[in-house]
Formats: sequence, structure tokens, C-alpha cells
Amino acid sequence: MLLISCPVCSITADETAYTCGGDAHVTRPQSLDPSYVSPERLTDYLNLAPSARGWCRELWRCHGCGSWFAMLRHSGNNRIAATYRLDEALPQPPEEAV
Amino acid sequence: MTRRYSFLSLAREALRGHRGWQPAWRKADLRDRYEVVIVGGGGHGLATAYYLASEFGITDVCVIERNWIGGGNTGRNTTIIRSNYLQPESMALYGLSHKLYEGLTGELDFNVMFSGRGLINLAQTRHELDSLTRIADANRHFGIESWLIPPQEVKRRVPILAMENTRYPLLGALYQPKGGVARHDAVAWGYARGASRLGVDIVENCPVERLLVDGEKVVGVATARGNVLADKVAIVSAVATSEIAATAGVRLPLRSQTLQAFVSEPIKPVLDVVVMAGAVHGYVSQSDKGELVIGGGTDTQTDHSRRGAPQRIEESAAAMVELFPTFSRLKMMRQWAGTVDMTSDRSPIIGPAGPDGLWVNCGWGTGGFKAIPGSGYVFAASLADGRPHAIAAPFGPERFRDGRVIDEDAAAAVAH
Repeated sequence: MLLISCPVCSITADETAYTCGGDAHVTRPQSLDPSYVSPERLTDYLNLAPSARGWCRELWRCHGCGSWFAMLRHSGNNRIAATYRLDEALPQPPEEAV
Repeated sequence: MTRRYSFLSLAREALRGHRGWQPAWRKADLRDRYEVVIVGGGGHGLATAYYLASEFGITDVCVIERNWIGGGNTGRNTTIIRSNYLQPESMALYGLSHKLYEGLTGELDFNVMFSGRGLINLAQTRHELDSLTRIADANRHFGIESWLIPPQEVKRRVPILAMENTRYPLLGALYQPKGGVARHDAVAWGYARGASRLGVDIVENCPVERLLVDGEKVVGVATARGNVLADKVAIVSAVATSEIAATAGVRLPLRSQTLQAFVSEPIKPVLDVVVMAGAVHGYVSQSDKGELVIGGGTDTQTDHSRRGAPQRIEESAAAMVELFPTFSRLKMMRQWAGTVDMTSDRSPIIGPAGPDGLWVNCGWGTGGFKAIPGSGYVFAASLADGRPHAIAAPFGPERFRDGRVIDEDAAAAVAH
């Protein structure tokens, strides 16, 4: 079970106090014509998960303060490097071997 | 030397002190070149190799497995077999698989302990009843034996099911009389033995590191024991499929999630059907040893650790106690987790992956075990023919781009 600290309200609780919202920093593809986005780009957006084995960035929601925030977590061993607000600069994964 | 398994050979070996048995499959040495290299020695990979050799006469085949065969999701699932899916494409694929399972013990000369004991999918909300009615209608049109049964019949078939003072009322169930379970290890071992006897090489403990690409064509794989060239490379390794395919620049729409299961202490027979329940999210069957085999939902986040969160177990256990109050004092013996490769439409990906010579069979998510024979057969036919078999064709990876998804999210509402 993940032990997560919310960067907004700063409580620390296990993952049952949070909801995972999928990949962070992914935006729906836009084009100049709002009614058309190429199928290739939509496919990438809808189906291709950027989170593979290794460090991944995910959205989580805190049930306490109701805020969304992002988490930098290693999907191979579930180590959490950082949780951060969405308006913060992106923290980088630690460099040592995991 | 005893090769065939039969009553006679058992009796003969018993009299000779069991000294004549042979290993079920050869420990093969990796050669430099094969016609087909299959990456991944789980049920799907081994079944593909077996049918390539037995049905399509291609025996120059190697199955390369990172650990030991059948040690991934083939050995971690709850062994439920059914074919009552919603979409015609799925019914064709899972229906073929179900049919092959019924004759598999004879085909492989290996007891896979298939038990078509009946499968009951409970409807506990109005919406579930609606969606199961739709599935029952689809099944009837397609000729798959599966129909709705009323609460009285559910009670007759599952006497220990709680009927009074429950959170959800029992409104009926989707019943598939030939649904059931089989022995997961035996399926992997039976296919391995069958393939090995037909000349297929099975190489265990040999991780594939990357694909070998020549121009636009995949020409082989680089493994921990050196390079292997092949006319066709077929990746059948669940979540690792996308990692291996990525080394040739191919991206696959798979998401890795953790799914857990657990078993109780063995008890006397109390449950002679498989019961699935979507509203409380759990499914259970009783093994021949008497253990209750229980599963539930996946974790939500991307995860390769094969260590699930305890609250999922708690949820599944709570679901079971709600359905079967008599289970409340059972001890649970062990728990395990596997990494499932989920697609967005909950249907598998079978077909050519893009570059010449590269094929994939993955994305089985939470329900791959029931499909092993059918998947192996249609994938072998596709590899032998050089184009997708009619049943496999709708499951190509291009369906996500074209919007032709095969939506089984409703039929697979319970991870199964």
C-alpha cells in the first residue's frame, strides 16, 4: 500500500485516502480546426499510456482537501520520489539506481 | 521409456518403481536461427507453438521464456473459463477457445482438469440485469449456450448464497452451463510437452533484451544467450510485449495494472459452480483440493511490482462474505498478484505489429486464461499464413486508430 503525502494540505495517509486519476501532464490534442484532430494523434492520446516500467508521473486526488496533485513514482518498485502541486516546476527522478 | 500417459503406462510404471518417466519437455539449447521465434512461454505462447507444429506443420519454432514457463499470468489467474461475451468478434474467439478446452485433455494427452461445472454471473442491480439480458440475447444469436435464470434457480444451484437481509437484491443471473475452470499449470505444461514432442525448442531462463531490426524488417531477437535470427518474431509476453516491441519503435496501447487473487484453507465441497458478482466485485470457485479461489478488482495505477494493495483483498473478501456469510470464518491461506496488460476496450491485440516479420498477441488483461487454446490456434494460423486468421483479424492493433474497438468493458465488468 502506498503512503502518500498531499502537497496541498500536507497530510500523509495511505492510498485509500486518495484516488488515482491517470497520467499527469497529458493534454488532449488540439488543432486549428476545433472539430478535427487527426486519428493518429487522438489514438495516441486515448490509448497510449506514457507510464511504462520506470518513473512515471500520475495525477492523484486527495480526499481530504479535494485537490488534484501529481506524483512521481517508480512503477517497478512503487517508490515515491515526490508529490507536487500542478503549478510547481517538475521534480526530477533521483539519479541513483533503483 | 514411457512417453504416453495412460492407465496402462501408469500401471506399468507403478510396477517398475516409476523409473521410466521422461521429462515432459526437453531442455533445448538455443540455436542461431528459427523460422518462428515466440517470445514468452506462457499459455498463449506455448499454445501458439503447439498449434504451429501440430496443425500447420511448422516445427522450426523456438519459445523463449524469461523465467520458467507458465510462471507469469498463466500461473496467477483464477482459471475461469467462459465464452459468454457481448460482441460477435469476442464470441467467435472465446467460443473457439471454450470448444478447444473441452477436448484439450485428449488432444494433449495431458490432464488439464477442465471442469465445465457451470458459471453463474449474478445480477444484483437493475442495470446489471439489463446488461446481462443483452449479453444473453447476443449469446443466443451467436449459438453460445448461455441464458438468464431467475433467483429461485440461482438459489437452487448455489444454496449457500445469501438471500435475505442483503445489501443488493438477487434479481437473476446469467448462466453458462459449460463454463468452468481448468488447471492452469497443466495447460502450460501440456502445451509445452505437446510442442516439445513435435520438435519445438523451449528455452527457459533466457530474457529477450531487444528486437533485431534490419531496415524496416524485424529479423530476430537479442537474448541474454546471444542473438537468434528468425523469419517471424511473435511477442506473446503480456505487459513485456510493449517493452520489447518498443525496441523496434512500435508502441502498443497497453496499460500495466496489478490484479490479485487469494485462496482459502481447504474445506469440504460447498460450491460446485463458478460464481461472479459485478455489484460487489468478486468471483469465486472451489478447487478440487477444496480451497476457495477468490479474485476481485485491479489496482488503479500503473504498476509492475506484482505486489497489490491490501485494500483490494479486503474488498474482495468483503464481497465474498456479503454473498456467502458462511465463508466469514474461513482463514485465507495465501495471496498473490500479477501484472495484467489492459487495453482500453478490454479486448486483446492479435496481429502484425507494423514492421515486417513482427507479430504480437497481447492485451489479454484480466481474462486471458480462458482464451489460451483459441488464441494459440488463431495466432498460429495467422503466423503460418502470413495474414491474420478470420477470427483474429478484427483484433489487430490498427482498430484503435480506426475507431473499430471491440468494447467488452461491460461484459468484463468484473475483472475475471
